[in-house]
Amino acid sequence: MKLENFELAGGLRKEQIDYMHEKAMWLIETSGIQVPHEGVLKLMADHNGVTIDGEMVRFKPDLVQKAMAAAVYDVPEYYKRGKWFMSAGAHQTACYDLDTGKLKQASADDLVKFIKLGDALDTVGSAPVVPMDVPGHLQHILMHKAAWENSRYRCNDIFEHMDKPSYECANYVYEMAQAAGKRFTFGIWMISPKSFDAHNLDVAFRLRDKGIPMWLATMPQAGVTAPITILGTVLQSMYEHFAGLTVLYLMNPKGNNYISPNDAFEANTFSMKYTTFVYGSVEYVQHSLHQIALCKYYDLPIIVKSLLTSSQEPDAHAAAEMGIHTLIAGLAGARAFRCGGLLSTGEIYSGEWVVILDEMLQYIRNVLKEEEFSEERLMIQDIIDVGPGGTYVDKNSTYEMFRKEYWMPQLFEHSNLGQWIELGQKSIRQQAREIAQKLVAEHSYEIDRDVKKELDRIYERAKQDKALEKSLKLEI
Amino acid sequence: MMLHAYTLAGGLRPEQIDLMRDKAIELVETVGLHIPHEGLLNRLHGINGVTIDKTSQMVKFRTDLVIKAIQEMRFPLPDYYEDGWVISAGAHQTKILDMDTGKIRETTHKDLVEMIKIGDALDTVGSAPVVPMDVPIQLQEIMMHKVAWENSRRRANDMFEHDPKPTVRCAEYIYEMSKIADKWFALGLYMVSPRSFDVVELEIIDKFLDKGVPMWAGTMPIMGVNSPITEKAGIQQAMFETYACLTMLNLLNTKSYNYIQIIDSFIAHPFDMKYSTFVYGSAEDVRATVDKLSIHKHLKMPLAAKSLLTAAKEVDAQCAAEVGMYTLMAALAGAKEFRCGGLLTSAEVYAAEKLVLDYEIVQYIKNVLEPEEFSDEMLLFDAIAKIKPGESFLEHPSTFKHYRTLYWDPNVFLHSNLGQWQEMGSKSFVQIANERAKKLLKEHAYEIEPEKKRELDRIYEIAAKDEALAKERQY
Amino acid sequence: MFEELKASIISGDEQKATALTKEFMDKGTEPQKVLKEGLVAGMDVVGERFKAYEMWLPEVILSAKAMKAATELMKPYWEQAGGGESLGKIVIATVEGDVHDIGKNLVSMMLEAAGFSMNDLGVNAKIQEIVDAANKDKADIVGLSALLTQTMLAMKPAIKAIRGSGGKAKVIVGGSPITQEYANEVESDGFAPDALRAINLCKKLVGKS
Repeated sequence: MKLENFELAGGLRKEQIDYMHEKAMWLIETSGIQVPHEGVLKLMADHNGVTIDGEMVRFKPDLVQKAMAAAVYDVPEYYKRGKWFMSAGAHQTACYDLDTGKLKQASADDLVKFIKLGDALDTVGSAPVVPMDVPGHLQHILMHKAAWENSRYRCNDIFEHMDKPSYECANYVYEMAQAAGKRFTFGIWMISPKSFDAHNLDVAFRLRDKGIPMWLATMPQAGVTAPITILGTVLQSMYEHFAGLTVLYLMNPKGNNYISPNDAFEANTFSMKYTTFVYGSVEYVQHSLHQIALCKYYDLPIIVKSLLTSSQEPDAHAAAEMGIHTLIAGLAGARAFRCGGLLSTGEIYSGEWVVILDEMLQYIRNVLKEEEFSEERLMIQDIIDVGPGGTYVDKNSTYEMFRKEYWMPQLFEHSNLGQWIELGQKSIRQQAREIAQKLVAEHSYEIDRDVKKELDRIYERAKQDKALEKSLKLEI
Repeated sequence: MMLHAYTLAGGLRPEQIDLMRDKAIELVETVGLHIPHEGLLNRLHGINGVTIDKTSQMVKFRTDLVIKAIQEMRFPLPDYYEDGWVISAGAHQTKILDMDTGKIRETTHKDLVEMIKIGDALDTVGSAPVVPMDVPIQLQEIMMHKVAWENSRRRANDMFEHDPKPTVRCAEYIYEMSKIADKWFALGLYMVSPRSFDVVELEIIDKFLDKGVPMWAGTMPIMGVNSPITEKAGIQQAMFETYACLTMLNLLNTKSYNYIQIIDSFIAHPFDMKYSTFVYGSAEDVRATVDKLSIHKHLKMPLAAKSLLTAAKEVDAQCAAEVGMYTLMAALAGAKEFRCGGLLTSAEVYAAEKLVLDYEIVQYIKNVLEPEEFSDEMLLFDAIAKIKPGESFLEHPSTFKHYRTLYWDPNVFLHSNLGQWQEMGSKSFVQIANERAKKLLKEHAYEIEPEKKRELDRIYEIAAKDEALAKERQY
Repeated sequence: MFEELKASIISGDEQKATALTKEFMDKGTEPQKVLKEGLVAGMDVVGERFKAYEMWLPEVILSAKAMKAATELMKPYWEQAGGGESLGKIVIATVEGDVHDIGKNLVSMMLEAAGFSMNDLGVNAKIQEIVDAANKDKADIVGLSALLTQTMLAMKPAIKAIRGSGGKAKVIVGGSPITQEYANEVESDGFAPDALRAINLCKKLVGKS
């Protein structure tokens, strides 16, 4: 007989989410959102259930429900199997050097190394760092290229959320995706409260004839661009998500549109003490639990940003925040966890941290593993047989079972003090860095050679493309 | 209306716990335990329901005696227990992470005083954290009690302590001090798995039976070594041993009450077969503690967890990961007391920085699990409706109302961004924790009443000259 | 003499701050003294406490609002007295392609409260627009903000353009993806990780720290 698996009870109840849902619908219908794009407004104007007043647009609930019903979440096989996995990155501009351990600006070399490291650990998601030594107009193209060339999962499913900062850039990435047989999507980020980035919207508008999947995300900040309370920010997030999804539904009928699970119902916290974004805080954990409850309610894939921390180093502060957050999210049902490798509220990327996180995920899996309960496992006869002064070390049962019963950590070793001193007293961070270096050195996956040649060819063309360069408006 | 508090579901079910309990009681009756003490055997001889084999010194207790012992058990819980989130720090470590040099070295009397003060500043309870290795061996435990009572409000002063009293005379001195200082005194019996005892501990028990002091039963079987390899079987053995020991105490210590030491009751700890060493803080250790808490809850016993333990050698990511996750599981399972604060490397080393971390982790978890209010006031949908694109909530009345109270302000898990951190000196976490520990120490003010201190000093001086006491510790 | 006024700024009591300021003005007290020893002195304390993380943002906002209201009230009296003195002129903007402005708005508000004259160009500001404003205002400092990794790229050409136009303005940068290393790379005159440090940096750049 299996013991009941550990899980989390409590938190938001169905009737409370029903209430929030009604409020969100009411807000969309009465308050609406700003759509600062003439073309998109024109597209929506003729639809039933749409009211436009200048740039403010309101939607009737049944139209919103249609948009939600039409959303398709094409989750990969590994997600369906219930695999525990990490999404590592993304887009950090600073990182800890894998060789020196020093903080520096990320480079193209770092991009490739961190992708390889991530691939060795089966991570998914977006490209981990921005190659700051590459011309601006090529950065995001290279990020996609490097991800596809060096990893199996990166930038290739619903768990990526890569930027394509201009239409020209998006076209190059699209072409590469076609050549490589990889997934291409385009994302729209709302600007809380209740608006969009006009330029971002414009790129989406121009891409609409390609019939590509488009996703919607928003990141309201409690106390700044959303109410100070977490529940209030979650409500605003729901409202913005559903309204934004409806815009996509009307604008991009040829493609599949969905709420990005990477930031679904996101409610960010802001430190009024340090006047800075905060991740990994107590309140952010609380928001994650609401997020999971909402994703379950709306049947969205669940991926939680529990790997984030406000710590600047892969230290005790970081591990405490990540461990507690990820474990409680795991108990609540999450099996996918985001932002692996990120430190300092997403300002720094660290390869050592990814290795440590991988270990922590293994730990959590073992804490929550399935277990059998039976009289046999109570081993009563063994208890009777081994008397005072006796030992179980030489018993058959011990020999047969010790490897299965106990997880052997790679990093969180159980050596005692004397053994640790004798083994060189290496810090966890040092050990993690060595593991990371080894994984990178031994990484062998690469994309098919012909595909690589094609990607190289496209990239060369992008390098020479003046229109691409101009599209990022880097000149006067 | 509050959101439902988060709790842990799953794990052992009541009927499974009942099965284990019944098996344990059955083993007490059919298998019994080893009592290697003639005096105690003589005291037990002739009691109805007690079967003694004088040759093997094995003693069995009939089921009704066991049940009686369980029913008569009393837990003298302190007032603060109900509110939970109690940290017990230490105990008895002989090595410490020096707060100035960061090096590991042997503990001293000065460390004992300082660590108790820091612990007191953080409201910790429990035993004395370190052994003063620079004090003559026969005086060490006496000193530990004395210093704990002189410098803290709660230390070594309730059922959460389990300080050793390694000889009869030592126990007598501590007993005398406790009466003078009006502090807690209890005697504990730690079984030696499987199912036996340390003769010296039995001797002390024997000598104190007339004094009418509370006594407790504890055991710490190690999986695969002196208990079976599976965690459930280890706990099964622990239940059997603890019930047997409790029954023995209940029959012998009739002038006072007896209880199961909740610190080390129905639990077995893992043993690492790769390093052949004790392991704390591992995934299996967490599971064992959660099972223990389920059992305690079902049997209506107080809830304590050794979740502040770790196998990490430093105050690092492994340390915080293990302690954080372990403590979260324990808290969700209902634990009110979290033990072994300050301990590193499976309890070989004590570190003030680790205690600062432990405290922060407990506060963090406490705040995560704090139920939120679900109401229109908290949803603020009118405010959401009214705000326009491009506007901000920074100056909204609700922001001013809630910004300080709704968000936990950490002591050491700082929310500074990279630039701010660099400007503040790029301090490591250990540095930050170290500074906090030193600040707590500097600002610590509590001390026992001068008259009581004088009395304790007087008794200690007598002990220091007591040759018989010194002889008890000679080999 | 100005202790109560200073205290009203520290506590963010706008009503009291304006009432006391008006009282001083009506009495004919020298505006420069009221500003320096009352209002600015109060904001200096706010700044110190903010830096020490004792005062938090909403409290600082209240103080800044009180400061702003009091200085607004003083304007006619400045004109009579022949003009007030600001610490310096600053043009601030979120660079082209970026519509995020939380941080920029905070910095702008804090700099104004600290005594700088601000010209906030808002979001998505074209490089030429920034250059023109800086030259027109004879700005002492130009502040550039970006939140996105792609929009921060606009900082380098913007700085080049500002310097190339012959203007004397110093250029500072800020925003979530910006690091000191990046600030050095784009050859800016400074980087601040938060609003308070932006004030200190600007004061230093205009020689008034």
